[in-house]
Amino acid sequence: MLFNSFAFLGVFLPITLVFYWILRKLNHHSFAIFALAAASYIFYLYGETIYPWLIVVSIVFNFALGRWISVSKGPKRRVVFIIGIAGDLALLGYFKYAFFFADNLHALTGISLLDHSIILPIGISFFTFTQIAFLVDAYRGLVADANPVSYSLFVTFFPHLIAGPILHHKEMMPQFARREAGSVLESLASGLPLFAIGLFKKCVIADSLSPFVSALFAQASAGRPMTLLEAWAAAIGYTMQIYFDFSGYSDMAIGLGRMFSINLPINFNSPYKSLSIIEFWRRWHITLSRFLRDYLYFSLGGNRRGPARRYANLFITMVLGGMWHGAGWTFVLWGALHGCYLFIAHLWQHLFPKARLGRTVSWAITLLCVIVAWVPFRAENIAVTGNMWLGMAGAHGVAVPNWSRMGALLRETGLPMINMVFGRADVAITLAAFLACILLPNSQEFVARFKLGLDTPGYGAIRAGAASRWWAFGWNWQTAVVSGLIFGVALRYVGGYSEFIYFQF
Amino acid sequence: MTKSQFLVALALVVAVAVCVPFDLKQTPLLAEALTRGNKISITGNSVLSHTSRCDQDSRSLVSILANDLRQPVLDLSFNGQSLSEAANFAAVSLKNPHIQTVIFPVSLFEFVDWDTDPIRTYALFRLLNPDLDAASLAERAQSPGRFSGQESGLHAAFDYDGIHYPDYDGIKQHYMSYERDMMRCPENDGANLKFTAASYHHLLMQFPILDKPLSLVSSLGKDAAQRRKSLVVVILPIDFELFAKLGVPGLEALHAKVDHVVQTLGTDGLNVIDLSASLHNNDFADRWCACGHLLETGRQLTAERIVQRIPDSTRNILDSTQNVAVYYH
Repeated sequence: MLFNSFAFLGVFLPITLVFYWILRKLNHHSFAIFALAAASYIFYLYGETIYPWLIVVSIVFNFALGRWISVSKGPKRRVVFIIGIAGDLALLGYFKYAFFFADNLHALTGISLLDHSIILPIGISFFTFTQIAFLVDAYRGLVADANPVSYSLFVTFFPHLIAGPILHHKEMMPQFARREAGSVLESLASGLPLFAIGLFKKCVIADSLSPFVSALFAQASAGRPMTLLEAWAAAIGYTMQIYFDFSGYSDMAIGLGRMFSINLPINFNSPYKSLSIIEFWRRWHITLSRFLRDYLYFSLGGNRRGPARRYANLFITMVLGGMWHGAGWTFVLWGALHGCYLFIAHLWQHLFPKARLGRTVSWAITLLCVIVAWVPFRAENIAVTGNMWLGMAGAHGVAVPNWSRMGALLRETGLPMINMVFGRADVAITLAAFLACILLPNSQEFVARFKLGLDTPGYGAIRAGAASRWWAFGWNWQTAVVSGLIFGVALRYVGGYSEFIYFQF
Repeated sequence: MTKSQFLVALALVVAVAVCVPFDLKQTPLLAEALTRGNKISITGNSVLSHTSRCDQDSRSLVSILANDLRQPVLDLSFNGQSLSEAANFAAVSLKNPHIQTVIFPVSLFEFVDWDTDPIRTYALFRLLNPDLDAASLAERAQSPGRFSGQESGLHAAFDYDGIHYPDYDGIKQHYMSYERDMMRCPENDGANLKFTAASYHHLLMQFPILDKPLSLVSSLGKDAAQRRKSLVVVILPIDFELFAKLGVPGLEALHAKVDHVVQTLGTDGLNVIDLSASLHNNDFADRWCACGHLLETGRQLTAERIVQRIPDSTRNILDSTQNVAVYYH
């Protein structure tokens, strides 16, 4: 079920809210948690019709092992822990990577292990990562709670289930255990404005960018050499689309969580304002960065084994982070690129600790690197990536849009024109989205007074000072009008089929 | 402000924002339809604005018409305009005291997926044109496109000749972009002739002509007659030659469909110009899409034949050297 669907907005959400809050107000705390877990599973069933049982098996498996590990001692504990991690990785490996490896093996050796791709269960990457973290923490002795219903809700809680944020049990279990019901009105009045912002970002901005970005990448996929403006329009358009799509989803998730009086971790903090690639990864998909840092980078040794090993660990972490998004060489390339960027950034800091490039130059270089890296993330394959990159470098020439003033002048000279698949409106939307990214406060800053979402230690205080600014939302008529308008406008765009980009991961 | 007051205010603003039938594309155009000082208006889909990169003459059909009529024409057309939208824009322009003639070009396939407005636009149209014989609110509310305005039949996936074709978005992405890419000058029948044949079958043969859009156009004609204005319905050209050449089954049935439309509208007293079989294969552009886009020769011939049927009272013979403006949107 999509957040931007009438089934969700008109049926599922109102019914779930009413049931949940009635149970909470009647002091049936356990029933309320159970009802929310059941509703979350129904939410999952609505979209996952092929492997609806898989998430249940995964929850039972991880909960049983995690609980056993957290209360046991002795050498068997390590064996059970390894079995648990291996089981999770095997599940993810089979569904997500088996065909990729089989396909590459076939290309290299001619041996055919799988002749068809395997349908990916919805949200598998998210619910597997969430539970790997749980097992690791159980092994480290950091897991106290052992309530199966709360655990089930922790994994399946519908706002985050399909596309994150990736939750940590330490920040969720205490909230599920809290017996005070809280205020319904406060929860709704806090959550709705952020949900409205997220819905607007997704339905109005990201979905408006989607058709022309898709059309341009389709041209590249068809093998047409992309000219300079086309390639840059596609790359910048996608850079904006994925941000508004994914951060819109995260805003909706956090807003929805708050409607149930549950705070989810913040996932975005104006990533395109970053002044370095290191900062970018503290602002983009924060909960994934946190997971990769805590459970992969640190497990590889982090920075404790010297600079060379540190850079290698960074690179490996980013490549695996890339592969987490999808089984394909384009994702490997995207991860490797970011690994290289981070390597260069850290090396630069190490070699020239006092060097300063200036804010504008630093920002421009960072954003340029990010835009270049989004190309393989969106492209179908490496060949399409190459086509786009060559286009961005000007290797396929410069063609002017027919609709531009320059186009009109050139047409009169009789020069052949290229019919570009983007128009003035596409350029205007992309430009407006770009300016919004870099000039406006982000969603969390807008709703800072409501104290929505959880900050992640080590990733910066996101809302510092924002609550006192004149534009900060509050429970006043200005906010009611603004958030009502953006909600209403976004609802007018609801109805067509438009899946969130991160659903595929 | 208390939290409950805040929530009530927010809900009210949401309701207003959702229900107000303001539309960035249609509202300004409706205002122009009501107020511009032209004598002639025209509605329609992309056939009216399309030009080919292979053309020497880059004027659209509307531009050529304006030139041939020697007066500006109020262009109310836009890409993807449905029959329902066209009828409502035409009806609004009939209320404009300056407009004497409305040219109403229609592609045959518009008599299938004809009513695609989301409910709020539908409500606005009903408010503006209560006498038009449109779908009832109950019918509209049951349609799959009631909120999104998306078309149903012609936008859906389909099978033809053993091949499964995706929905319109998929076709645009996988087939149309390929055809555009492969297109050279002079234009040909398409790079993937199986897809071209499937397009003709899907757009022109797969679905029957519906009665409701015919009665909508008839009611528009009655409205024009009551106002002592003229409505000129144009059945736009169809590439029958290509249809036959590709071996798409049902050539006679296709002719029969056109005859049915022309006879029904003619019986209702409308001035119908049937240009369906007026052009040859090499007068058409983008033949692979079966959407009736025209090359310059096709546009010139079509404009010429429409002008012949425009009532003399509307024609305003100006000095032939005078420049003619067309209002584009």
